[in-house]
Amino acid sequence: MADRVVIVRAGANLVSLPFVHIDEILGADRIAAVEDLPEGAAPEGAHDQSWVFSRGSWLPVRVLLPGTSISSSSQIVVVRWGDAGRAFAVDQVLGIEAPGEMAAFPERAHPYTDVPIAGVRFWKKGPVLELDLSRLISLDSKS
Amino acid sequence: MAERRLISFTVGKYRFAVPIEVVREVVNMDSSVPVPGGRRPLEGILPYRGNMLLPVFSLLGLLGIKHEESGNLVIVTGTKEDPLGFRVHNMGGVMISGDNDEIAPYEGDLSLSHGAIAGLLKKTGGELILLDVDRLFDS
Repeated sequence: MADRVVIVRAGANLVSLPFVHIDEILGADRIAAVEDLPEGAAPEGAHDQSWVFSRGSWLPVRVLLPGTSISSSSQIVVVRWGDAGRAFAVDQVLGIEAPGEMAAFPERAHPYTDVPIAGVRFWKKGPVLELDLSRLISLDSKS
Repeated sequence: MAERRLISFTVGKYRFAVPIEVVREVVNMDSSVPVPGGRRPLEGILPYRGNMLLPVFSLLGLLGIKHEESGNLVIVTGTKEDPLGFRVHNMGGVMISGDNDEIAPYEGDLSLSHGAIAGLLKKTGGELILLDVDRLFDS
């Protein structure tokens, strides 16, 4: 059976995230501004403006793809990878699907983007980018 | 120099020629997928041969030209396992190059830093930039 993924729209791209690593999907009404956080909730030096409370901790909200933004109509996808949790804003969650086999992103193209793309699957005849979650979370931790 | 068959194409104002054996096929960009956060000279990826993705590059971008419009055709080169594509505007014809053809050093505005330009082939009807596609990524 094909792996189930959550398909989201982020700007002009459709993106798939492995379903087993999705912890929660929240509405934009759950976003709190940094100045509204309880004292000590945000780590020292954190510069993120938008935060969500998920399973006992406050997580900064980052955009899933460059060139997109966080708005009042965003949806927030909370991803877990081991002990790490991350919250990513997307334009819309489209559903849980089991698209076809993934075509691997060409090695030769990796130096020309900072987005950790693992490959492309096809869903309803359109391309869906699959992100490498371990690299996404690793990169997000460094930003 | 033995005779060899070349295929010509244009990108913007430039006319190029490559040995015909390096061209695997020519496809169009219609089904290309933009790469988020992608930087030139990468222009996108194309679904290719069922379960592969073809990285498509700006040829002029690889040769040091920062801004130019790319065409809708893609020359596919590289190996079966590691194919890559370059966007071009128009395909020309197949021509024979032999001992009587003059090949001069290229002195135009494209970058020569990694030796991908083998010279300027002077044929009746115009000059063509001879490309060594194997060296485009050598830098």
